Amino acid sequence: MIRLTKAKALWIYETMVRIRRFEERSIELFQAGELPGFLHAYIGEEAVAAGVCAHLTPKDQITSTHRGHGHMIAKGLHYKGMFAELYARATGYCKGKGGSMHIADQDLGALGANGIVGGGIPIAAGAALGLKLKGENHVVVSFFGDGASNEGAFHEGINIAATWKLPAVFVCENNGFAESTPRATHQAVQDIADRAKAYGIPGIVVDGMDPQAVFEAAGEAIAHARKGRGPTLIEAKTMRFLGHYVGDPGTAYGHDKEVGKWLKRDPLITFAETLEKKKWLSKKSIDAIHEKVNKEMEEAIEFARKSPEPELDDAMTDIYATV
Amino acid sequence: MREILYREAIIEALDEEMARDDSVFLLGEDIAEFGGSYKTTVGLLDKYGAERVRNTPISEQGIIGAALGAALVGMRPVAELMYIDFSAVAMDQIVNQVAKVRYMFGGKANTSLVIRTQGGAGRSSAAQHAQSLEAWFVHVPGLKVVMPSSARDAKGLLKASIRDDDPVFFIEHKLLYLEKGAVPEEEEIIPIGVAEVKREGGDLTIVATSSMVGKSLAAAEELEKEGVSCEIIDPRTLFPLDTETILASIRKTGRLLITHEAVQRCGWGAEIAALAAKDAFDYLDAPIERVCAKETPVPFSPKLESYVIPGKDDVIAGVRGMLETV
Amino acid sequence: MATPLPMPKLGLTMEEGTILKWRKDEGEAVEKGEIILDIQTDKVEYEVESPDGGLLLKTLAGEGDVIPCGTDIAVIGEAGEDISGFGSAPAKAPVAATEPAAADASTPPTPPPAPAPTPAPVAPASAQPAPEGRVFASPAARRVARELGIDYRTLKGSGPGGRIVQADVRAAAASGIPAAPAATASGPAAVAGSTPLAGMRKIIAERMLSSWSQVPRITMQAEVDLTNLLAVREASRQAWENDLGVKVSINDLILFYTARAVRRCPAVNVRLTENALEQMQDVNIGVAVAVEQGLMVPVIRGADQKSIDAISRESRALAEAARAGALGLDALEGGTFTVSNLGAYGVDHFSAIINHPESAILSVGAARERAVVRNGEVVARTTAFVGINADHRVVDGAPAAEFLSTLKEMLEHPKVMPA
Ligand SMILES: Cc1ncc(C[n+]2csc(CCOP(=O)(O)OP(=O)(O)O)c2C)c(N)n1
Ligand SMILES: [Mg+2]
Repeated sequence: MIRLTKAKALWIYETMVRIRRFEERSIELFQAGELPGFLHAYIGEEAVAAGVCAHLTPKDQITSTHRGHGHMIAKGLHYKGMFAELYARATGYCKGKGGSMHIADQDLGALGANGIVGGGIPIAAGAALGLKLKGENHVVVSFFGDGASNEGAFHEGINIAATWKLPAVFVCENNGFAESTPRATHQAVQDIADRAKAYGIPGIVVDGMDPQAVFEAAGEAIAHARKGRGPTLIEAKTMRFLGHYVGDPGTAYGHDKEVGKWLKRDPLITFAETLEKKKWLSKKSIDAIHEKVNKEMEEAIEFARKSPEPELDDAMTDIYATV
Repeated sequence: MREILYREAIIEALDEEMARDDSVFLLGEDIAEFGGSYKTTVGLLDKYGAERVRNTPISEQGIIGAALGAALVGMRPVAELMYIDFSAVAMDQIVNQVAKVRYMFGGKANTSLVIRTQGGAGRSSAAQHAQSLEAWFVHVPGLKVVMPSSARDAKGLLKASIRDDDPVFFIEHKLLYLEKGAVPEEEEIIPIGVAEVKREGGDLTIVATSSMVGKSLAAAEELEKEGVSCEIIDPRTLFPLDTETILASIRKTGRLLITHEAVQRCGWGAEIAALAAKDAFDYLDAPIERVCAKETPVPFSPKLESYVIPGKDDVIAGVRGMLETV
Repeated sequence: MATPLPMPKLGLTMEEGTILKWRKDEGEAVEKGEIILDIQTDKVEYEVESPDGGLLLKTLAGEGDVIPCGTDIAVIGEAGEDISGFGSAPAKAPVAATEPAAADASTPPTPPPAPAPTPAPVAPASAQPAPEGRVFASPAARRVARELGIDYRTLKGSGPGGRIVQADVRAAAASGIPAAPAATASGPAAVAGSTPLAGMRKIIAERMLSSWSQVPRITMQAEVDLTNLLAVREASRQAWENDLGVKVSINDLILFYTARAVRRCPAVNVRLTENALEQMQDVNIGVAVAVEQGLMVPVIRGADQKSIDAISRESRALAEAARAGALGLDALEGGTFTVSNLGAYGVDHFSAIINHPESAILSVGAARERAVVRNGEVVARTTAFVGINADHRVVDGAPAAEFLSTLKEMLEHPKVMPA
């Protein structure tokens, strides 16, 4: 088993803080009317992205979802490019063409967030195939939600990866809801991980509020994949602390009642306590991390605000490579 | 006449048809407690219960296939695809199954179902949530395609669609949901396949769909001040198409501008242009003009989005270009 | 493999065709189904499509050449293909002056006749008022110009890029601008435009001349009272429309009765060949139809055997097809007697030229109320002047008159309700 070292633990904690603060600030800016479009906040699920990505190098790849900011930050994308993208600026990761739901940086192994639920899953299988064919020992992680596990793309993508023993890890962030639909009313299985049986691969349920548990489960699955033994389906039980999108109070479908017990297990609090107990963190060092993150964040927001908007002509570029 | 929102008109149509006919039921993502992502099914769960207002898994192909299956055994399902963009996920069921079953099986199969969805840009929803894909469906024999531009049309046409014995692909527009319009209190069925002259004029015919109808009406107001009189025709149904109303107008005005929010290339407007070039050739006094989205995916940036998507000013510029004199 | 294109055979009776115009030059690319030339039969003009895609490698006959059906006139293929196997088509010279046969046996054999020289096209008159090159006018402007008889080519366009638009044509018409440019003050009459004599116009010209110059006509007219016929039509209109689905016109009734009158008076249903007088078996009534480029005479076969609704339907369909240029050759063949009705133009009486080799033609003028004397009193009746022109070589005056009076009697006392 891969043990959580102090360095990794601190990286995970800081990454979770970075994600949390990014989301909090984005919501404020969105509500202040500074950001166009809409946002799906990752708050509450930070342990999953951080715990998984702690194992990844920039050469490893991920695919992500509409709720993708956390994955991108954990994969090493910087605030500036992300904020600039949310602000629809030319300096954004996607030149202002993608927005919140479509952040990507292929140089850093972030193949792309996705507005189509389930859309990233077969792409991850294909990326894993490509890496395998190239003989590179990298892995691909595909993040997606419980709702996505009902799309044909989920079954088709995982089956392909399993059949060809591709170096992929499928991480289902089961937050109990697909938009407004409680999980129990959109599928009959209790654990999505059970579906792994149908593809002949390992399926693991892990507590998505526990960074260490996620780290360990992901470590095993990734090692398995790197050894050429094929994919794993990890189901991380987690919860988004907010509505489906910023502005959704979550009251129409019982999310507000469900979320209470999960708030007590906020990984930013529990993990800080754990690390404090281990003396790997202190109040002071926690403050220092927050301060550093905040400073970086405000700089990035300033950068984004000052960045130019794309030119009108930019609308017509990047459609083709050669036309 | 009282005024209600376009989305309320949709709810009313669904409500009235469900009350009238027990075989009508709804299925789609988040349409129950949530009342739909665009609040077009609010209140129906309470009224008709979870059997008839069914939240589905996120399984677009499953939704459409299930609707077809239910229709085959005599139900009249109304399936909702949250965004027209997601129809791509369900394309096999829509194109190879729903559209084909009647013909392929010799005409006996019952395929009375409605696929409701919404499209269009204008909310910085970016490339996968803002497309206008109506031409795809018009291109498939076996589907009827309806695209209402007002609350009144939305209600009357949705009721007609639900009662229709053919599959109807019913395309709403996300920006129109919050527009108010006069809708009669008493029941009104607007027949499929009948265009409406939204504004009479003599100098030029504008054939506009969905969101472009309102933009064209606004453009016509401004052009009127310049002494240009535009006739605006909303086909309302893209197939079957009311060619006579369109041709009669072209024969009257001699000029045709077509505007839709979908990209120009191979858009539905090309079909109208071909129709005019053939059946009103001798009446055309100017080349046919199209005012459509630029040929690119929809960008996230509001600045780029409004550049790519045609607006009132684009319609005005298009009209002026056609009437320009030497 | 190079594909030869033979002169098509467009009807049972077509033996040869004249090449009117090559639309493609040698070496030009053609697509399968693309029109590559126009030909002329003795009845219609026809657009010939390419049987294959590729290059028009060679044309084997020139414009104006008369080529027998089935003879190759062009070769389609790929660049560089060997087409030496295709010689030029043996054209039949339209007016070939034959050399007298050589008397001296020692002289070398006469070379095969050279392909008929292409008749020199009529040079367009220099006083062409229309501007050089293509005139840009909208389809609507062209249509309105056609309707108002305006020569749009002389107008100045106000549309984008100077395009002539409908409004320009209407303005020109309103301001009284003459259709043709104003008459020149002195000198020979100015020619406004010139079209090479070809196609249908050429045929009409030849036919009319030969009929006029070779056929001695006898002409007679009678005023026919159509009041009763109109009453019959009125009385039956509803039934025809509802039961038979046709709107029967006066002309339909005239065709109907003419066919029966011809059947009753076979003396007008004859044909003179080189050395025989042929009595025609069927009554096939030709109906003169004015079309854009001239005149066509589609035929209602066995018209005396046909019911009024059949006649009505067929005459309408034929006229529409003629105007749309969609008449097949077969519809133009086999007439034995022609009816020409100019009533719609308000013409009272006229004398039509016999559609040779037929021997008689009926002219029908406008039906209108006229003062006539009945029982010593002047009364208003709806009448029309109906006349026959007959080939006096084969139709004597009395039989012609008898035909006319038979027809008059039928039209004035329509005893049987046509059905
Ligand atoms: C193909 C497709 N269908 C529906 C949607 C609309 N939609 C966006 S997010 C979402 C819920 C996704 O649920 P889940 O996969 O559990 O992810 P979560 O939002 O819970 O993170 C839905 C229905 C979509 N974007 N794409
Ligand atoms: Mg979920």
